[in-house]
Amino acid sequence: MSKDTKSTYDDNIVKMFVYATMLWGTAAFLFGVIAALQMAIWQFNFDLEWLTFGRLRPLHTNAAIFAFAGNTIFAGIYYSTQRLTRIRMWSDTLSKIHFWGWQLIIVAAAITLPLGFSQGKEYAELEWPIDIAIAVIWVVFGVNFLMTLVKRREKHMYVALWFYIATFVTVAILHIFNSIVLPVSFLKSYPVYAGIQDALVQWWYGHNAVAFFLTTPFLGLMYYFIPKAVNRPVYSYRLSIIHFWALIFIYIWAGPHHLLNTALPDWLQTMGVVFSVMLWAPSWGGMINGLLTLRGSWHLLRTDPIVKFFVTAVTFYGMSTFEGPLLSIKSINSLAHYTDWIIGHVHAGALGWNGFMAFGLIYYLIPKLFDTKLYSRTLANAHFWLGTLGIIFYYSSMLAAGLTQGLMWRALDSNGQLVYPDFVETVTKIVPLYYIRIIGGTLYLVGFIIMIYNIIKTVKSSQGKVISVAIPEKAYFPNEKEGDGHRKLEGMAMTFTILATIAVVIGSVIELVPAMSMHKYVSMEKIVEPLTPLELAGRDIYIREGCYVCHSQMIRKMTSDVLRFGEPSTIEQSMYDHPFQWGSKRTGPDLARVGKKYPNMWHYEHMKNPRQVVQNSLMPNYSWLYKKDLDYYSLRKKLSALKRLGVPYTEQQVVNADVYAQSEADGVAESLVEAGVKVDIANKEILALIIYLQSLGQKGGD
Amino acid sequence: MKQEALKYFTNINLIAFAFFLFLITFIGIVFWTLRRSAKSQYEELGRAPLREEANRGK
Repeated sequence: MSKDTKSTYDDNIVKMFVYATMLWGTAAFLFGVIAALQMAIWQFNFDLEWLTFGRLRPLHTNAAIFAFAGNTIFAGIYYSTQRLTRIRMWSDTLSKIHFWGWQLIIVAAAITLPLGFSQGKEYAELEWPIDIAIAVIWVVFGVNFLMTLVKRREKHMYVALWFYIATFVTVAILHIFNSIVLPVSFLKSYPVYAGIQDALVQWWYGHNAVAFFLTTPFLGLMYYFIPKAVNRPVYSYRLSIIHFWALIFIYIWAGPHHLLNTALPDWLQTMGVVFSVMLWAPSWGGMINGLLTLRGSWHLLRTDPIVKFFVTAVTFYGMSTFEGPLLSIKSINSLAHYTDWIIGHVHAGALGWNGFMAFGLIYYLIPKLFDTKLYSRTLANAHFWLGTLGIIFYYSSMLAAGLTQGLMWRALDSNGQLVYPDFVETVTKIVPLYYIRIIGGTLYLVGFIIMIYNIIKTVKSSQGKVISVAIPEKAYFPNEKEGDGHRKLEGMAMTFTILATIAVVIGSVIELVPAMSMHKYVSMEKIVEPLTPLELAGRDIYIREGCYVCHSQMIRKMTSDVLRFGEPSTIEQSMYDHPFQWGSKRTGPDLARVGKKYPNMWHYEHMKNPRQVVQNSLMPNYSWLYKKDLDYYSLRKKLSALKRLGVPYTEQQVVNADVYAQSEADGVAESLVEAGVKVDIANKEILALIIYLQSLGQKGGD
Repeated sequence: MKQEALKYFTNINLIAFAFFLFLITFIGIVFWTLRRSAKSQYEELGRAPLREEANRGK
C-alpha cells in the first residue's frame, strides 16, 4: 500500500458508501414490505404507535430515497469523480465527515420518524435540527466535490460531472427553501408557508427531489458506468449535453403537476402540464443514448449481470419518464391521482431505475475495489430475475388497483349518482391486488439479500488484501503544455456551477413567485376562522400520526369528487394551514369536509377500532390516543408561533390558549360521556383529534 | 417586507421576458452543441471515462 495517499485514489470512502447502501437498502425494502403487509392486513400495524402505517411510510420513503439511493449516489460520485478528474478527492477529512454525518442523519431520521416527529410534508418530514444537519453535511460534500473539480488534472469536465454539479446545487436550493420553518421547540416547528403557498413550494421540492436526487445523479452514474461496463464511449456525447441542459431547464418547472384539478390557479396547473409533457423528449433522448451505448456489445446483455442491471435500469428510466408526463396530463391525472397507479409509477422508477442502477454499480465496484472476481454470477443472475419479477408483480398489481379504484370513484349511474358511494367498497375491491404487491416486494427484497450474500463472499475471497489504485501520473490537457494554462481552468468549474444554478433559480423563481404573492388569489370577502387551540392540538396529532399519507384534504373540481365529498376545496380554506395537508393519496376518503358529518361518538369509536363503524376498513387502531394526555402547556407557544406567521390570533387567544383548550376538551369529553363512554377520557389526546376532525370544512372560506 | 417586495413582482411581461430568455438560451445551447465542426472534438471528449483506463498509471 502506498504511503503517499496523494498518488492514489481514495477508494476506501467508496467502499464505505457501498456498505452503507447495502445496510440501508435492506432497511428501506424491509419497511416497504411491512408497509405493504399493513395495507393488505391491518393487523400488521400491531397496535404499536411507532410501527403504524402513518409513521412507517415516511420512514420507508426517507430510507429508500435518502439512505439507500443517497449512499448509492455518493459511492458512484466519489468513485467516478476521482477518475474523471485524475486526482484524489480534495480532502479525505471532508469525505469522512460527509460519510459519518450522512449516516448519523439517517439514524436520527430512523429514531424521530417512528416517534412521530414530523413536519407533515412528504419526503421532507424530518424536523428542523435534522434539516440543518442535512444542509451542513450537503455543503461539506459540495465543497469537497467542487474543490476536486477545481484542482482537476483533466481539462474537460465529462458530462457525468455536470449532472453531479446540478445535483449538488439544486438539492441544496430545494432543501433549504422547502425547510424554512419557525421552530416551536426542539422537535416541533411550523413551515413559514401556508396552504397553497406551502403546496406549491412542497411540490416544487417534491418533484425536483425526484428530478435532482433520483434522476440527475443517476444519469451521471449512467453516463460514466455504462461506458465503463461495456468498454465503449457513450453513443452520442452531444446528445448527452443536450439531455443535460434540457433537464436542467425543464424539470424545475414541472412541480405543479402534483396539484392538478385542485384549488391551484389554472394557469399554474397548465404550466405544470406543459413542462411535464416537454420532458418526454430529453428523457427519451437520454434513455436512447444510454441504451445505444451498447451498440456492438449487445451480447453482454446475455452474459454480464452488470450490463443486465444497467440496461434494465435505463429501460425503466424510459418507462417511468414516459408514464410521468402521461400522468401529468390533466384528464389522465384526474383518474390516476390519489390512487395506487401513482404508487406503481414511483416504484417502477425507484425499484427499476434507481434500484437496478445501484445493483449494477455495486456488482461493478466491489470486484474492482477488491481486485477480485464476483463470487457467483449465478447468484447475480438470480438476483436480477427475482428483482425484475418483483417489479413486474409490484407495478402491474398497483396499475390494476389504481385503475380499478379510480374508475370506481368516478362511476356514475344514469341518474348521475355515484355507483359506489361507499368509499370502503372501492378499497376492499383492490385488497387482493395488495397481496400481489406483497409478493412483488418480497421477491425484490429476497433478491437484494442474495446480492448482499454474494458481495460478502466476494469481499472475503479477496482475503483482506488492500489495494490502492494509482492515479495516472500524466494530467490530460490536450493542446496545452502540461502545467501551462492550468490556472485559467481553475475557474471553469465554478463558472459552470453558477450557470447551472442560474438556470435552476430562474425556473424556480418564475414558478414560485406568483405563489408568494398569492394574496391576489385569496378573496378577502371570504372569512376564514383560524383553528381553536384544541383544534390546533388535534391537527398536530393528525400530522404526527401521518394521517396525510392516506387521507387528502382537497376536494377536486370534478363531478365525482364533488358528489362524494362536497363542494370543491377553495384556496381560502387552507390559507392558515402550516403545513398544508392536501395529501397525495386516498387510501381512505378525503377529509376536507368531514367536520360535522358524524357525531363525536362515531369518531371516538372509529379511532379506537375503525371496523366498529366501517366494516372492512383497513385503517389501523389508534389505541394510544386514548391513553396519552394532552399537552396543553405547549399551545401558547404554538399559537404564538402561528401568530407570527400571520394566522390572525389575538393576544388574548395566545395567552389563554391552554385554559381555553382545557375547557374545549372538557366539552368534548362531556359530549362523549353523554353518548355513553364509561371510561375516564378527560384530557386525552383523542379529544383534540375529534374536535379537529369536526372542524374540517367548518371554518368558512366558501 | 417580503409581501411588499413581491407585490411588485407580478409584471407578466417580466415573466414572459424571462421565459423567452430561457428558451433562446436553450436553443442556443442546442445549436452550439450540434454544430458540425465540433463533431470530432465532442467524440474525443466523450471518451473521457475510458481514457483514464487506457493510460492507467502504476
